[in-house]
Amino acid sequence: MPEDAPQANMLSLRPDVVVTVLEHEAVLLDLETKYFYSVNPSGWAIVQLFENGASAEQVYARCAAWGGDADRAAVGTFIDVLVQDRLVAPSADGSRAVEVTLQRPWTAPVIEKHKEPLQRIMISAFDPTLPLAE
Amino acid sequence: MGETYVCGPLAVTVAASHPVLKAKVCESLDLYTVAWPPPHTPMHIRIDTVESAAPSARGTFLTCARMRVDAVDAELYATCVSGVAIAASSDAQRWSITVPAATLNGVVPEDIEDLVGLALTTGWRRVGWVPIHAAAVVRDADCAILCAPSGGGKSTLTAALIRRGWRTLGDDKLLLRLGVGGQPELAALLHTFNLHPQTREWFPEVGDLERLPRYSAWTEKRKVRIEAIWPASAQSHARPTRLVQLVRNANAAAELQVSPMGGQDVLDILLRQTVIPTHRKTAAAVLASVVPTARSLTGIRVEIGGRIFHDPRALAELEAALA
Repeated sequence: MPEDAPQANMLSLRPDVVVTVLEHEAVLLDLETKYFYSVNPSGWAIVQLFENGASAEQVYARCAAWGGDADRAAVGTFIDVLVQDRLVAPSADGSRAVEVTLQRPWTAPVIEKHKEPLQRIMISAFDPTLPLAE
Repeated sequence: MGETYVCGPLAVTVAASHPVLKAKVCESLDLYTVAWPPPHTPMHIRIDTVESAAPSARGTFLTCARMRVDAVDAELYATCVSGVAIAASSDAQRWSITVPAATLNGVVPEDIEDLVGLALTTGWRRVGWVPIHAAAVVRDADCAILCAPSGGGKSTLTAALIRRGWRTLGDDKLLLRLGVGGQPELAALLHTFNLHPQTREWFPEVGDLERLPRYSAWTEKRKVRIEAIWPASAQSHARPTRLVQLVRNANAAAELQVSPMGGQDVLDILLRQTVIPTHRKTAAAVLASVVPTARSLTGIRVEIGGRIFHDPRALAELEAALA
């Protein structure tokens, strides 16, 4: 993500991305691709910024305020994953500027994409697995 | 209205214009043999013939091997390959199955079971339970969720552990929720096993399973009542403590290999044991139970060889890994 991206380049979390929060970390599931991602507390705080609409510059600034000045590159990498995997998309709306609080001491944000997507076609409404040959 | 079928937390009644169709629905509901105490949430399923097949669903909510499900506003609508369809009321308590008259004699029972399964899984999720496709074994405070694809050995391993004093919540259909204090809770739905006739080789007490009807057209397995073979082996609820990814390897050098699994892998495996529809609100509710549950579990990967059920030492080692 270019560091000098204009303020107008607002990004927001896509509606198809479902977030589950657990102890200040989060799991993101993209219902379109069926991939899921785990993010650490700093990553979850960044995702929350995008939930409300934010530009990359706003995110960098907020992370610096949280003590992440030295992790600008890691923040950029995190944002790149969100953008390249289309977890966030350009937003026509402005930022809703809701205050996001970092719940844990700042550490470099981490996003881990799980290796394989979840099944798209199920055996039944109860069984998501693929059967093995008997 | 007739008989009420208690299927976990749901109390289901059935009405039909045609006795054969009613029998097919009731046969699916009759599978759920575990008595759940009240209160139950009511559900009503009606099945009728219609002149022509309903328009096909696209599968925007869920796509299954023989069934596609759409969510239209708050209501579900599904069709099967045979033309049988189901539509739900917005509260998912009233379901209407339609069968094209032309296909009446050729209705595939599995399609009726699929549609009934859709109604039940939707109803369970509505009252806070998440359907899990897994087996579970319990001994004292230890409860292991056994995860493997269909045909992956869950039933056989469960039977082997029952013979060593474990109890079971079932071999492939469970319900999960977060209970008191946010602790995960597993519940049983049916105390029957789907066993392949060859299990007699390891467990002679199962007898000749080939005399029983097949569980479905797609398998050699037979449905047997657990407690008819192993009395006092069934349990209705437990708090899960472990997750086991079960891998069969008939050519493995050792009969048993156990390795630890990290938290991310436990989450990965558990997420793959439940159907997550492509629907934001439904998916969020499922994840709200599954993600914290995965976090609370210790995970192990268990690779079993082809002769483990003949090897008491390997089974003892496996038991130790489950504790």
